[in-house]
Amino acid sequence: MTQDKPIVYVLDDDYRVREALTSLLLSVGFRVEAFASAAQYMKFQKPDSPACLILDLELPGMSGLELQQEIAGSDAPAIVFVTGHGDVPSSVRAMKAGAIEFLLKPFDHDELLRAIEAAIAQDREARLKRAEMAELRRRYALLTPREREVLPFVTAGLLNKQTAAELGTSEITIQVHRGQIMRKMAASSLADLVKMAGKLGIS
Amino acid sequence: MNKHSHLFHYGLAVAACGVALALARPLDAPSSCFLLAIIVSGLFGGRGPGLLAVGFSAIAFNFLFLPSPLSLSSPSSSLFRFGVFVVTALTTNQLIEARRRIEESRRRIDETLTKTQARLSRATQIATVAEFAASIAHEISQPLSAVVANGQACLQWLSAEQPNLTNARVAAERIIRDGKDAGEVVRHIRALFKKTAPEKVALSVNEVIEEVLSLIRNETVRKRIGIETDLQKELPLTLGDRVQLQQLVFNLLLNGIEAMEILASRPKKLHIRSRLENSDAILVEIRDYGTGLADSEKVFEAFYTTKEKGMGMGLSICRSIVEAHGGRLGITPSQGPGTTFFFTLPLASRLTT
Repeated sequence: MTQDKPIVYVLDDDYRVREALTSLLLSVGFRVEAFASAAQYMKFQKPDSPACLILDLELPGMSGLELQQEIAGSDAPAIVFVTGHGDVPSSVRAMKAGAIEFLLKPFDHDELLRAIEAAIAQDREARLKRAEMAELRRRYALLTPREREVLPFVTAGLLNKQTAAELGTSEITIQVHRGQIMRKMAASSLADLVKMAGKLGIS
Repeated sequence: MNKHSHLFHYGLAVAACGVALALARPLDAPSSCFLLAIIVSGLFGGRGPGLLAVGFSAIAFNFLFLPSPLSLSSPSSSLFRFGVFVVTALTTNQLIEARRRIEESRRRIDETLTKTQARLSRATQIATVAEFAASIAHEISQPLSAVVANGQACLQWLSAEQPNLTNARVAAERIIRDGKDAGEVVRHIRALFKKTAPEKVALSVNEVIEEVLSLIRNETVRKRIGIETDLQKELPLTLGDRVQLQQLVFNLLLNGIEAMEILASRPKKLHIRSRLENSDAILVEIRDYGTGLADSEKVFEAFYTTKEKGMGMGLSICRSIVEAHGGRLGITPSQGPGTTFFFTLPLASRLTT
């Protein structure tokens, strides 16, 4: 499902920097895709693998900060900003919005590679989390409306008898629902189910 | 040298009086002739020779042209005529002297003014460059980043288990190319900061424009200003001082950028156009789409400014640069928003022949 060879996106309007970074990153074994503008980057069909975006702060058209905002929230990769200006407000904004690092040109390659590694590690983790959430949601979608109704009572630690009383049905029925829930959610124990419900925001 | 010229001036006075003496009798106009000699001596010789001429004329006038030698018994009209002549001569000499002094001080003021203006021009030049320091730093750091990254890539390609010589070579070639780029930027900056006596050489106006644009490119990207150039190809050369002309273009572009600072309603852009105006001159127009100007003639006056931080020297210096090159600087009445500045420069071929 997930190809594990990390990919680095380079977004810089200066072809010299693009070429140089591409060569450098290829030489240390990354896959690299380079773009001259935010529009080009957004159009690109991104493969499903851990990634990092090296983003120039000053871009014609949409700026680096604007792009960061634009793609925030979606499955955007972690961002390493590079800039020719050591401008404090911009760096603060970028870091607050979740950038991994803010490097000043001309940057040291160890520094850059460290930042890229950190970004990719973060992205990999975020990807796992996202995959896990997607899986949980998929399982939750399998539940019938009645089972979804029962789920909060189960995770709240109520006995089958109490739940049955609350929902005005028999203990046997609740027991059946409970068995279905555990199976569909692939929960190994009640504790496991409680954790899943927590991640899904059900209480 | 000084002594020599003194001698010459006094000689001139004596010669003038001699000529007056020779002409006075045949023309029968002694006072006019001697006054003329005094004026000539005072005008061209100065105070001393003027006084010498006054004295010489007075003696000659008295002994040769008045009815009897100066004595107590001489008729009072002769004495009176002599008196009037001496007073006229002295007054004339004083007037000439005063005029000379005024001229002298005016020349000194002009000299000081030129010097001050040159100094001020240099100060604003540095201020302008300082304002763009960040942008210029970016223009250097960009190729330098590429050089560093390429150098590291080159090493990586070489130190791999199976060295990739092709990629290493490409990286090395890029290092050379980008290093030269950085050097070029440094050369442009040095030119902007250079302090030399103006030196006029045949140069291409388009090249000057491109050089300045390359330095402010980052500034315009950052401020979201589009640059449109429409430079006529194979424009004839003009005769000019590269540094001053760069400064001129720099100032005009900076004005345009500042005029659009607060603009939100329409896209910011600068339009630079060069054309052969006629067989004598090149025309360059720099148009911004900014707020426009209220008083289009006043802006060229020194210390007039529409900017909060401005000194009001930019355009007045621009105008003196253009005029020193034998061109004109002005504002083209524009259709639509913004301001269009134009300047003309004579063709090199027109100036050298």
